[in-house]
Amino acid sequence: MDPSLEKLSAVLRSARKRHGYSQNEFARALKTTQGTLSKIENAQLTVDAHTWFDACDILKIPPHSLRAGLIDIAEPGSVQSVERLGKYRIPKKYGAHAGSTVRSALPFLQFFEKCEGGAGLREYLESKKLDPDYFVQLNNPINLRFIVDLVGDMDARGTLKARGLKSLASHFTTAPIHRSTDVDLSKTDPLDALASILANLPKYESNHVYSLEEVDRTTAVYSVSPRDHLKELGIPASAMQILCRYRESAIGQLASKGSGSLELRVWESECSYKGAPKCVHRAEIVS
Amino acid sequence: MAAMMGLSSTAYRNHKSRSRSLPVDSVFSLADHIPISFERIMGGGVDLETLHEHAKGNVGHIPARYRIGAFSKRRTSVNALYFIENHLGAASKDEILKHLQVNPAVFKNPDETISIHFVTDVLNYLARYQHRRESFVQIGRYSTDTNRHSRLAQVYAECRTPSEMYDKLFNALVSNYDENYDYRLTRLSKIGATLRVYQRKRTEDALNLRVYGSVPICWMRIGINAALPKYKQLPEANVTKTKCIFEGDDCCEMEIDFEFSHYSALRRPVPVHRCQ
Repeated sequence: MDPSLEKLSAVLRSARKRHGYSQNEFARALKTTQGTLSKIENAQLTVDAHTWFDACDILKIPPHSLRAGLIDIAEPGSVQSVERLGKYRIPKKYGAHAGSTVRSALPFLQFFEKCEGGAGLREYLESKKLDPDYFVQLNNPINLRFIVDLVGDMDARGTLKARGLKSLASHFTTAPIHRSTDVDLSKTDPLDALASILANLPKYESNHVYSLEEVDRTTAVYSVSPRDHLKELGIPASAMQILCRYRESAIGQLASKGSGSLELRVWESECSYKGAPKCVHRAEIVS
Repeated sequence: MAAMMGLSSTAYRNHKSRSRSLPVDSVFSLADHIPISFERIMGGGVDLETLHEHAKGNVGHIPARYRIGAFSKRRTSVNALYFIENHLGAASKDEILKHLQVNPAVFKNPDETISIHFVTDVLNYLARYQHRRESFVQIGRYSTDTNRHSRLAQVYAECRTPSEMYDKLFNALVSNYDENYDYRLTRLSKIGATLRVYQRKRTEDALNLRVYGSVPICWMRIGINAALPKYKQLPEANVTKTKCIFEGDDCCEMEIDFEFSHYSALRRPVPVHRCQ
């Protein structure tokens, strides 16, 4: 299937549902027929610049969404409880105390898709009563329980063991998810990159407070403190520890991305899920 | 032009003569080459004079829309853009400025003037892409961060009480922010104030508009008024809008409750009725 048609269809479906339009209503607003819109949304037909401009105007999405195939609307992070968003229904299990965003869940979903295919991912999300189109808009809210369940299910299927946490975390370095967050992927000094990442993580999720505690020429120390609302989700400490490992690897890989032969090694020296007041991570440049 | 749009000469001629529809990618390609956004290319309203001046290197030139009726100080726009850059990303700020055909160099001096249309258009651009009331209130709150090293911050910090801060802002210093409105404190006590904001005829005439500004600007103003006590590291005030020009009233009116700030400043316990 033509990738550009796939991106167009995904973005249009996702935005239409978020806006609360049925296919018929949106077709009327766009001054076309439902049949034509259906073909566009099924990646069988493209649109010209005028139609795309009108569609973006109606659906309130940035036109450049088409380039990445993701709707990236930057907004300050928050914790909210969401059950309905336009045409979407979010199960309470995943919509309560939603401090994560699709942006932070996307690496996990991309990893799942790589292992199980697009059809497998769709089937999985539908089994969780989630519409796959929900995961095209990066600022859509979702709670940490969703990510924990996804990781747990991948572990149960053997997918995570087979490919490893490092492979999963490598999906965090995908450029499109960082576009509107101001994380500078071109920084050649991994510690400068680390500072940029930590400063911008609130745009991905509001579950933790990140703080750069110390930094010198080759090492840094940063802390990660869970926010109170996470207690309401009842996530076992063992599951949160896996996410700590993921975060270490993801941040280390992203910070190393622009640095050529240098790598930022990150490890946890204290963990709030093992009784410490907060998670403390140390980072060191290695060549 | 064909090369900038990623088209062959034949395809470009066909599109120009409207015998073929224009591909989306061609417009993206054009927007990559010239400092005009996709929305501006397709929606119209390109300020050609500004395009020409920027191409000559005159980055300080601003579109006519923002030169006419220039009664706002640029510091309000600086705050909005600073918030956008720090909370939404530099890419978002760059996109907005490109869309409005304004170069960041324009904001070097916060005391220079600009039309209220500029900050209106910035906030309306955010509102267009799903930003809600709380985003604009946060932009207003951010003014204390943006201006924390300014001489205005020092003046507010030297006030003895929150009441004195609001008195100073609206009776002495407001012209440092804008001269589009008349700000009137109709009530001022040690724990609260009522503020009315009236449009000025001078701006109405200059802009040829009966009503100017926007609802997001009202929300931003709520944030600015709430955050004022923070210049003295005091808790924010609670601000409630009770009248709005955009709802047909003759003015915007806000009730500003700074009781918490007042008692914090005195380092006294807050009265019982507030603790219950």
